[in-house]
This record gives sequence, structure tokens and C-alpha cells, in this order.
Amino acid sequence: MIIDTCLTIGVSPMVEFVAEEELEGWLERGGIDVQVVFQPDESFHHETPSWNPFLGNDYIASVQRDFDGRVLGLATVHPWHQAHRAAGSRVFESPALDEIERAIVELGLHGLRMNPIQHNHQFNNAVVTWPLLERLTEVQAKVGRRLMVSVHAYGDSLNNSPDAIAETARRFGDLLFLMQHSAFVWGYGSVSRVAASVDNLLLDLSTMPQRAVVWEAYQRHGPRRFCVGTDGPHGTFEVKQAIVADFARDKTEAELILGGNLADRLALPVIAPTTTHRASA
Amino acid sequence: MSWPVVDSHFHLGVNPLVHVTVDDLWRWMDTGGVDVQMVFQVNEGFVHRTPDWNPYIGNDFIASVQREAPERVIGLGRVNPWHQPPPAAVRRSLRVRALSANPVMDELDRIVGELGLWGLKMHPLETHYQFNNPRIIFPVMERLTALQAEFDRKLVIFIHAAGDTLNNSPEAVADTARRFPELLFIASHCGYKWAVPTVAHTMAAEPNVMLDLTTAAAPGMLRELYEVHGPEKFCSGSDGPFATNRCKDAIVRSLIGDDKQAEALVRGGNLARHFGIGGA
Repeated sequence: MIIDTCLTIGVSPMVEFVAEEELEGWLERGGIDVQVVFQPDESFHHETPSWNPFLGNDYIASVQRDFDGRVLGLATVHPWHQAHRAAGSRVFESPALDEIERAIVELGLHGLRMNPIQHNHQFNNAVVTWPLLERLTEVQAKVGRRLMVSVHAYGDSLNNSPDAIAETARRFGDLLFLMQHSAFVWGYGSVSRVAASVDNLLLDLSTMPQRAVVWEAYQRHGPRRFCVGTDGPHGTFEVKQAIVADFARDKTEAELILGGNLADRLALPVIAPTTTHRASA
Repeated sequence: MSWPVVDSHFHLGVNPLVHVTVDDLWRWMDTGGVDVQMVFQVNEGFVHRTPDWNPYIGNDFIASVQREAPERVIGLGRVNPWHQPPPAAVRRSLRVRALSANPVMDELDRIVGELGLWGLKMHPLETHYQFNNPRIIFPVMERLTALQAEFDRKLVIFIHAAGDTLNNSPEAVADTARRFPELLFIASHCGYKWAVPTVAHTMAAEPNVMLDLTTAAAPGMLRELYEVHGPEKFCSGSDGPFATNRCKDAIVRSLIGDDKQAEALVRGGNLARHFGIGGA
């Protein structure tokens, strides 16, 4: 079962992927059974705005509904849209927490997409990030399905260091963290040591072409700690396959990385390779 | 000539990190000896329109503070440059080609035309864009240039330019400033210590870039720049509420020494001249 962890859908100044027109072909070309999707990090909205129907968590949910069983949608929330918690504060509401509730319970999405560099918050910020994950943990118990937190973990700022991600993943042991890009080339020397041993964290090899950075983790923990995505629409299937081939020592290992691990962790029903396709095409 | 003290840099409003109300601002100015304060929204969580859930963010909030004391406050707007559709030339889908609205352009019109603000605060690190990104930043500058002419008001682009990402490099600031020579760009933090070696031949070399000494706490690194360009190139801010006026004044004095006339220009004269206020 092929589960691809990383496809940005929607329309922003940098991305144009109208799922209604392109997703079916994308799944077919990539041999993908289940695709994880989320909004463009740079232009996300909570609710779909009138000026751009291809943004917002509602849009992600509508695509998930259209491709029932083939798409796992992740929500994006604005981490800074929360109350100030000190005594005497004049702002009490937290739209970010309300949106998590709406996205998971009402819209049926499967977790959060977070980009600590794009949205400028430390992934282990106790005031901003942890309340979101506390709420996500509560909501997970309510809906009874395992939720994911897909983190842009390129190691490209202090905000998304392997240490920060590992610390937060350890604190929220009920959630499943996908460490997207596995810290890229910047995580050399730390990612294998500090992040790979966290049980509820998968190293996501999306666009991570430098095997040396996480090879130590692969040797120590084996293929069970890994998953992969294309990083579409800009990434390619060819690159994804090459990255997996760099790690997997046989077909079984490749299948685990390409989807088996995530299917296990999320307890997804197995999809036969011939199963098709859109529920409401 | 005596000039008002114009402080370039104050964050106003409420988010999980900051809690600063209008009353706090007046106290800040009175105790810090600030005649005119440039203010803008909190960087984290800023929005275009003030929402019901938080009346202390949004450009409407900043405009309301400016209206309360227009002789003491210069308000800057914020826009999220990513809230634009893709440029028409690169759109593929017919449905995407049909997108007609651009909330960023609408908000720029509102900021300058309706709310009476004096330009933009931009933070390429926090909002994560290259300051010379032609898809999203150049259209903003084009519109501001047009608005400046239409409303005959000197605007400023106030940039977090601490050299702390690729997004706000001195080269990127210089590139954009060169392309939009009618706008005044204020490079806040002067590249800090990360970019100082390249500031001189990049953004400082552009005549429409002013170097803002806010929290440039190692002024010895800026001495060469000061000797080349003189006091007219500089302004100063406190970075309140995070830093103090005491630090601001120490930075200015450390760089300038005992030249009172130069100090008056850096502490407010240069900005006052640009905005057409004070000076006697």
C-alpha cells in the first residue's frame, strides 16, 4: 500500500494544484493508494475565503470527501491566533484552538500540517505550539482516530530543529509526528541521535536526497521509523523512488517506507492496488 | 534647528507574546521622551482587518490609535503578501484564471486611502518571503508608489532587516529599493551583526534606504558606514515594548558622540523631514 505523505494542493502565488482537475492523474501516475494533502503553507486560511476557493481547511475537506479513502487531509491553523494567557489579559479567545476542533470533528481531517519556519514559531514553544497539540490530543480521543502532525522539518531555522521537534513529540506521545524532510542536509549529526529514537515520530524522507544524514538512524532503527512523500506538486515521483532506493535493502523495506509504516500507525484499511477511485467523480 | 524625537519602532497590540494597549503607549512615550512614535501591529498574528475576537490587532486598530493623537503617532499598515492570487501569466487552470480579487491590493488601498496610514511594516522573516520576490513583493511596491502619488503623502516601507535570513538580506533590500526609487525604505536593525560587512555596498548605497539603528547594539560595527554617509542616512527606534529607550539613546550616542545637531537628526530629524513634521 503506497501512502504518499506530502502533496500541497490549492492555489497560492507559488502553487497551482486544482485537485478536482489534477489529483486523479497524480495518484495514477505515482501509483499512490492514499495521498496526504494540505494547503499551501504560505497562503493558508482557516475557512475558505470568498476570493480564493482553493484555500482553507474547507477546501482540503472537500477534496478528502471527493476522494473518499484515497486522501487524508491535514488542517492548517494560525498558531499565533490564540489568547494572551497572562492575568489581566484583554484577549480570551483562541481561534486556532476552535479551528482544530472544527477541522477534526466537523470536517473529518486527519491532523495538522505545521510549518514552523513559514509561520515563525518554535516547535517547542510552550505558549504557542503546545496548546495546539494539547487540543489535538483531546480531539483525537474524542474522534477515536489516530491523528498526524506533519512538520516541515528541514532544519532550516531554530524553529524546527531536530531537538525542538523531538522534545515536542516526546511530550505528546499519543500523536503521530511526521518529521518531513528529516532535517534535510542541516540535520547531520543530530537528527539520528535526537529524533530517530522517539517512538511516535516517523522520519519522513520527502525531498531528502542526502542519505548520509539519516543513514545512522536507518541502521540503528531499521525501516520501521521511516515514511516518504513526493513533496508535490514540485517534487517528482522519480526523485522519491530514488531516495527510497538509497535506503531500502529489499522490497519489503521499500514497501514499509512507501506506506506500510504509516498504514500500521494509522490503522488504515488495506487498499488493494486495483481499487479505484473518486467517490463522487 | 531643533527636531522632534521620532522613534521609528514600536509594536502595539495583543497576541500570545505581547500585551500592549494604547495607555501603555502613552506612558511609554511620556517616560521615554518620545514626541512622535511610529507604531505597527504585533508581528505574530497580524491581520488586515481587526477581528471581533481580538480588537488589538488589525490595521483598523493601528488607525484608531493614530486618530486618537495624529500629531504624536505615525501608524504603519501590515499586509500578508501571500494573500494574492498567482500572477496572471502563470495561471494554468481556467478556474484559477477566473480569480479576480486580490486582497493585498485592496488592503493597500484601504491602508493609505481610507485609514490614512503612512506606509507598511514588513517582516520577511516572520511572514517568510524574499524581500525581492517579484511575484508578491514587487506588485506591493508598485501599488504603494501609485498610492503615494495619488494621495501626495510620503510613505515609508519599514523592514525588519536584521540580516537574519536569506529573506531580508541587504542584497534583497537593495534590489527592491533600487527598483522603487520613489519610496523610502527603512532598514531596521541595519543588518545587525550578521550583515554588517555587506550593508555598505548594498542597501546603504541606495539613496532611498535609511538605516535604522534599532537594537544595533554593537554600534562600533557601523562606524565606517556613519563616516561615509553621515547622520542624514540614519534614524533610530526603541523596538518597544521589548527593548528600552535607554538602550536606544545609548546606541545613538555611542555612534555619534557629542555632535548635538547630528544626534537630533538621527533621533528624529531625518524622519520628521521625510514626513513633513516639526523642525524649528
